[in-house]
Amino acid sequence: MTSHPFLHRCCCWYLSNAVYQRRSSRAGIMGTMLVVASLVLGGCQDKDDTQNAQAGQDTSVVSETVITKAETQDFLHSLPNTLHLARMFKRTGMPYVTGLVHNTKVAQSYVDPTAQAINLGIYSADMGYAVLHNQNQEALKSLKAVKILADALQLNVLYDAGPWLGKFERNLNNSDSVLAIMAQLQMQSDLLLRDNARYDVLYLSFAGAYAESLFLATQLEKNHPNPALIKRISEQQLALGKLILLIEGLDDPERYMILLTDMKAIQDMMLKLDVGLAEKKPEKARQMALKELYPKVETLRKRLVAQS
Amino acid sequence: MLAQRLTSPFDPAERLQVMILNLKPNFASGLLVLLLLLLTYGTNAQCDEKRVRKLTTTHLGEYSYETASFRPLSGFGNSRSIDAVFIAYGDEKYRVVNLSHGHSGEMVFQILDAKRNVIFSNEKSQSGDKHDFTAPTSGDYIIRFKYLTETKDGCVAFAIGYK
Repeated sequence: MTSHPFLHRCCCWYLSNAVYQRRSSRAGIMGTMLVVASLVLGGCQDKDDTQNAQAGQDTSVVSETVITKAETQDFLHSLPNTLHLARMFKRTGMPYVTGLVHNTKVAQSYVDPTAQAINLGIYSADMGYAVLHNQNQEALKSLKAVKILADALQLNVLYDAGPWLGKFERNLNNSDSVLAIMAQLQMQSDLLLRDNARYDVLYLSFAGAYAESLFLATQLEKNHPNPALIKRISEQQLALGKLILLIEGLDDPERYMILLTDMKAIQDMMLKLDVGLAEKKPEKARQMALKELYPKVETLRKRLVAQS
Repeated sequence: MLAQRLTSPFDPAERLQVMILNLKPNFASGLLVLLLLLLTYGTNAQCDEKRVRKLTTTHLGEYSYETASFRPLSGFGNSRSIDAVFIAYGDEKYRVVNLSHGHSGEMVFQILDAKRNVIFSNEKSQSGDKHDFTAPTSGDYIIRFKYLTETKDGCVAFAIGYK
């Protein structure tokens, strides 16, 4: 929420004067109560100003609203939806193979917030993969891991994952309903994270979900050759380019240097793969992917799930 | 009650402060503050998660949520044109909806494909601010908001769905 600075200033002034003069009239009391309510709704200090001060980020200062560089970038560059990616991969004929998804028993062992956000994304992608293949018990395990990490990141301040878990369990036998619930949960968490400027969690969890989707696709393609899937994998350089840009726009991007380096290397390989596919030599492109891209994706995933 | 004088005749905030101080303690001041509350609440309600979520759910209809974004228009400075880029994958079905609201000026909402051709403009559309399409190729598509008159109020917002 962004409060109007002029009105905001008036409210703050009115409140301070009312307290100072100890107004006792009904109007004064009523006015004070209304102003208090107004400040609760709008916040006594402009949220954006607070964020800028805390983050020390570059800002675009214009007329009355201040928005950070990260907020602008977030609006101008949308990331795709990872559940949609999973659907596209599945449409190419990608099968479900047990044992590929991340171990849900280790969810509690992540203590670093960066690892928590990334693994929250990894479990979300596993959940989507399982639901799309009607493996709803597996999906439920992943959702429970998501909840553990969401609680660890204190996202319960923004949204309570508990009711979603209940909804999910009640609809376990209906994959369409479960998918609809997942889409709603994703929408709510996306918008709330944006509204609260939690871009670090938003992008790191996307990075985790993206890496996991890519890991599943490449592992399965390796064992079940699939040109259509290779094409979809090569297209992921578009999303990766945006993700790199957005993470680099976060406060203190040096913290994510290893992740960024890995992602840039994968992006380069994907671009090569895309060029290879454009030359209409899919077998050659596939060999190149197997040799260069797939091991790199595997290494990235191994690094992301490792408990620091 | 202390009668106040303006120190700066050009400061509207101060004018209002003095006006309130000079009022007798009756319901008028309460009403004035109620007006302030409503105005503040109106401004805040324009560009928040709850409103955008409601609009997204309503306008995406049978399409699944892909992404949505929102910002106060004033945050983009004097820009008359805002380009938001999104990825569309070849052969996938999308719905893009303009959820901008609360601005007083005239606005054109367009969608450009990966080759920068305008594939939708609300100026010529019968379907309002909504466009359903199947992406012919994968690439960066653009949602363009063009403000024809100078305006800094309101919320610029969009949502994308897929099938």
